[in-house]
Amino acid sequence: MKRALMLLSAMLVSCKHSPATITVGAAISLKEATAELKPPGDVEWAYGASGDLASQMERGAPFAVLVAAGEQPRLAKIATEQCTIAWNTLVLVKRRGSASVAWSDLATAPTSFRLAIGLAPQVPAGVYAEEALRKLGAWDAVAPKVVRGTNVRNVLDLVARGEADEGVVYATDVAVSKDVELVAEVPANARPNVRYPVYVANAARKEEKDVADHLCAPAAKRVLASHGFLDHPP
Amino acid sequence: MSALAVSLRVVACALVFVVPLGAALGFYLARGRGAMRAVADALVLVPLVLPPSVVGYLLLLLLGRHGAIGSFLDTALGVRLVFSSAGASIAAAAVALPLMAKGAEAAFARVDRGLEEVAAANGLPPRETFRIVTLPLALPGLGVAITLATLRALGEFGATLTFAGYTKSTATAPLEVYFAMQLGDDARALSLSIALVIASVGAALLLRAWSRR
Repeated sequence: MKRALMLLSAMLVSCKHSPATITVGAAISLKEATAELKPPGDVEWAYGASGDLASQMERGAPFAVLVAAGEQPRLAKIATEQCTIAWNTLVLVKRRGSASVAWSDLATAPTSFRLAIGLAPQVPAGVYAEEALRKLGAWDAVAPKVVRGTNVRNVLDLVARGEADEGVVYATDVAVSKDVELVAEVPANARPNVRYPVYVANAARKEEKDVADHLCAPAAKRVLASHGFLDHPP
Repeated sequence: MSALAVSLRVVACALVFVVPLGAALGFYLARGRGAMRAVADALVLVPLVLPPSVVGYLLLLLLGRHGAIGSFLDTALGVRLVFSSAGASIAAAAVALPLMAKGAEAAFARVDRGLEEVAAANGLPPRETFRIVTLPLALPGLGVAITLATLRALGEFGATLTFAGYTKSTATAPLEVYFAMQLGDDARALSLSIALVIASVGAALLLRAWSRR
């Protein structure tokens, strides 16, 4: 019995990836840009909806650094915000070649019209989209037409496949899908402050803190700017 | 608890198709001969052995709004399956059908052909022979098949999320467990999990009763 347990543990250990790897959680909207960041050490990125990643981090997932697409209050007890790495803006997109419905016409669009936004509160893009639509006074009329994506790239995919007529994503997402095109940027009076904070767990190891320092350095911010992210609030 | 209500609705709609179709397919597999049967036998297992994400993705390519069949459904009938409970039922049906068909095949294969021959020799027409002899003898096995198919449909997660998406009418209990857990709503995730555990144990007991007959 004891021998069987030892064998089982040995097998499990060999399935686990090398302990030298530093896992960094990142909002999925940063996927292409982060591939160009070269933080020190053997870094592995874990992408997803920021809220999902924060909830995993809170429950002890093996990453001590998280670059989220919005503030994550649930991390308040276990992590500290070190810097803002970039900002972004919200845009309305449609499937390439399909009819376009402007921000101001979303409320009066027919009932068959579907608007894809992120699943709130896990997906920050969805939280920002709701906030913008509320400021435009359109939320109550739009809400019944809303379908939810499980992260912002899922929202983009729903639009690309035509399962949703339009969707609300970040300005930097538009270029990722060749099947999607811009309708319009969010009107200035409804523009949310889309911000990417870098969180570092209070229990982070030295190597993990070094990664966070690298992400907060001007060079990393320049890489993000070259991918269309903003280096100042929108 | 609305997630359970959504689950029941989705599973019930799936079973309306899965039970008769799977039973007919099982009958063919049990009695059919030749190359066609061999092909059908191999194909019927595909949705069971494929990863559910692949099943969901293939359904999306086929039945999505711009899919091969989906575009027809949308333009001719105004039917859109993604983000609808019908879409969730299709995903559940796709993964449950193999269990129903293979279970029904076993049930029909166990029926004593001699009894059917006696009935036929006594002048009973084939349809009546099936109704009076074959079906009652296969019934316990069909019950097992229906139970297994129901459980698989009830537990469907991957194909549903990939194909039907997550919205009010597709938010079945397994999807709600996942999203409640992600949100940190453990009370909801746990209570739904317990409900699913009870349903599974109940079904296992039912299976035992069926197979002892």
